[in-house]
Amino acid sequence: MKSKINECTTKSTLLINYTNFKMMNWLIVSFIFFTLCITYQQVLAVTDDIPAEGDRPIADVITEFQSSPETMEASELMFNQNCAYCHGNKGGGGKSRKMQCLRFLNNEYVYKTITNGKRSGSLIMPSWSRSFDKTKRLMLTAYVMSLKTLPQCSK
Amino acid sequence: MKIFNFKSSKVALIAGALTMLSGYSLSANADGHGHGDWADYGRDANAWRYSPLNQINKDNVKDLKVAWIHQPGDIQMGLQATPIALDGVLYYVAANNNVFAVDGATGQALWHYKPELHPLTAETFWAAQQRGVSVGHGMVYLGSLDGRFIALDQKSGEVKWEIQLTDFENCQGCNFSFPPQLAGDIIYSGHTGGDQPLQGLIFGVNAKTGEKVWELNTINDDPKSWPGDSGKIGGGGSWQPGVYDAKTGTIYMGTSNAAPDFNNTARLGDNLYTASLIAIDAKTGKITGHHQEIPNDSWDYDSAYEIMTIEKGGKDHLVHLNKGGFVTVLDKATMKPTNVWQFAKNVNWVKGVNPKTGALIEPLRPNTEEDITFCPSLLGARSWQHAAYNPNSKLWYSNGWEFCNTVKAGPQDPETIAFAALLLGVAKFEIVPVPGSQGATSRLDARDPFTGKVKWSLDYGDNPGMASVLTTGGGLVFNGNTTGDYMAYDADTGEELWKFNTGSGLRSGPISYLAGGKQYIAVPSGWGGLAGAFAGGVFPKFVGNPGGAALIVFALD
Repeated sequence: MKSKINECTTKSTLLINYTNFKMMNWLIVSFIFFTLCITYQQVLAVTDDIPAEGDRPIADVITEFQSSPETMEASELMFNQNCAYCHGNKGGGGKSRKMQCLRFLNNEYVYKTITNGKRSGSLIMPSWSRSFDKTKRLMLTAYVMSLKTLPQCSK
Repeated sequence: MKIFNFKSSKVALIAGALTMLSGYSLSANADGHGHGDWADYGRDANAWRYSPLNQINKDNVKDLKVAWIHQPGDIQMGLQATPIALDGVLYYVAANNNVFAVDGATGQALWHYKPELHPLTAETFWAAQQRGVSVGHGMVYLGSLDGRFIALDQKSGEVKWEIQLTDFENCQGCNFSFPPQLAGDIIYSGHTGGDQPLQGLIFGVNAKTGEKVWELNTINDDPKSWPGDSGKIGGGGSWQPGVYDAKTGTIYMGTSNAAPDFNNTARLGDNLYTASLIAIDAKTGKITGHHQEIPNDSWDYDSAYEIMTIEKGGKDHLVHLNKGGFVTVLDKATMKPTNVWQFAKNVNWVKGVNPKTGALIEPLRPNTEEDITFCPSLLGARSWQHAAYNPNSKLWYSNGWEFCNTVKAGPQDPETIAFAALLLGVAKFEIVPVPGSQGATSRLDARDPFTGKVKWSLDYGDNPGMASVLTTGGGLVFNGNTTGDYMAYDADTGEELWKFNTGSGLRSGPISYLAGGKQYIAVPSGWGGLAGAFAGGVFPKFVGNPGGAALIVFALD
């Protein structure tokens, strides 16, 4: 991961050195590149956060978790003990809408919501980053994402 | 010394004329508060939620109209307060400890106070919800979301004193979600967290100076009650307001369930003083009497709900609904049961409760091997929204609902439990309809408080009444439902006489009061809270029910 960041920053620096643009254009272009670098690094940071999982994309981690019945059983237990009283059994709906069969739910959104919490109107979900390490938050992500493909979702 | 003069006789004449005209008495009650006030959380020390005002009555309630609306601005977890009304001014609290004083006749805000809160308040299970303030000694008392008592000047809203009481950062964010109560010069409250690994404490503070006078631990220090270390995480938080009997200097409070809620195997004792009604000497904070409703509670059946005092046969009785579905009637002086009657229609966790002793008959407890369905669920035969009692009809009015939970007990490590999580002690937990039923149901009952005999019952179906009931000297009962309808009924028959949709679900404590000699009905509207989250699986109307926050006040033209 570190090498990727360095590579990106070096490219920006090279660009600044070898472009013949006037000063103002220089600044604009380099600013855009730096912004892109930071955004790139932040997206990667989701996977970079997982100490045991290295640089693997979040999708690979979730797929691996979902293919292990033991991991999914442990994830469901964690959901039952911490999440079910607001989101319902199997995400069937509580404070907010059902989390089952949702088309647009994706790994990054679920992971970030568990990590940071969410406020919407009268609803408030606390951040869980204080209590659950990254692996546990990814396990919960894997469980929530599995609710997209419950048997009733194909009806 | 002049005892009688022209001025006072003129006042008396005017008072007498007003009394005849309007039919209400101007005399003050024992607390020094007038009949036009709503001075305490349950209006007075009896906790009846009964206002004797009768300008609005069975004949004219159909003409009730909105007089004014006050919006507190913060709608997180809705608006759950019971306002206090004194001399025509309302004092109430909205989400995130926003406290307001509002002119009761016009809705004009007189002052607004919001404390700087600990950042961790956004990460607690209890979140933003708050249900009231108390007023006395020229001060407005707030129990804060980060575990403080804060006293505000009644006229200006400026802070007079404050004191940190709970170990907020180390007790899963245990805090005050109901208002602390006055017992003479003592202001007291327990805290949230009956379902978390902690010991329930009740704090008594000097109401004038803010100094802590006493602290009561509800976990009995006795290995027969709590074997081994089990008491260290035993729960027992007294999260709802107590009541104070000034005649005897005694506070009566209900305590929560024992923790871990469903996994009782590590705490095989009576678990005193959880799931109990306790009498406390207000000066010293010592327990002077108790009645435990649920020994070794294994179902999350708190005793925290409102404690009413009703006189019968020359004796004061306490009337109290436990979440397990039974109402216990106690002799207030001895704390011994005089009757226990069943309120919930579906009860399977016990064969019955001995009406003479309160003893549980053949309880069925959860275990770690199998899924068992228990009725009622951990949300009880009713949630915390309070019942009301009308001394004219002599009826007890309460919402009720019928559904269950399927539970498999399981170990949960109290050391690693998440900050916002509950120590339910479950491997599986699901709210389910009563087995064999078409779905969850709900109702508003009018019953004899001593025997449970039903006078009338209204079917609320899939739209439960989630606000506290209000009853008045006008022969009326007011109640509000999940989708925001607020209704007035004939207190004697249950006939619906008026209805208004407030725009968001009702989960608060509506009151009645006088301002400028005119009667008002104040209805805090705004869906929110935790029970709705738990029960969304059986009440589809709960799921995504729009939140809000508006104090809507009604009057006749």
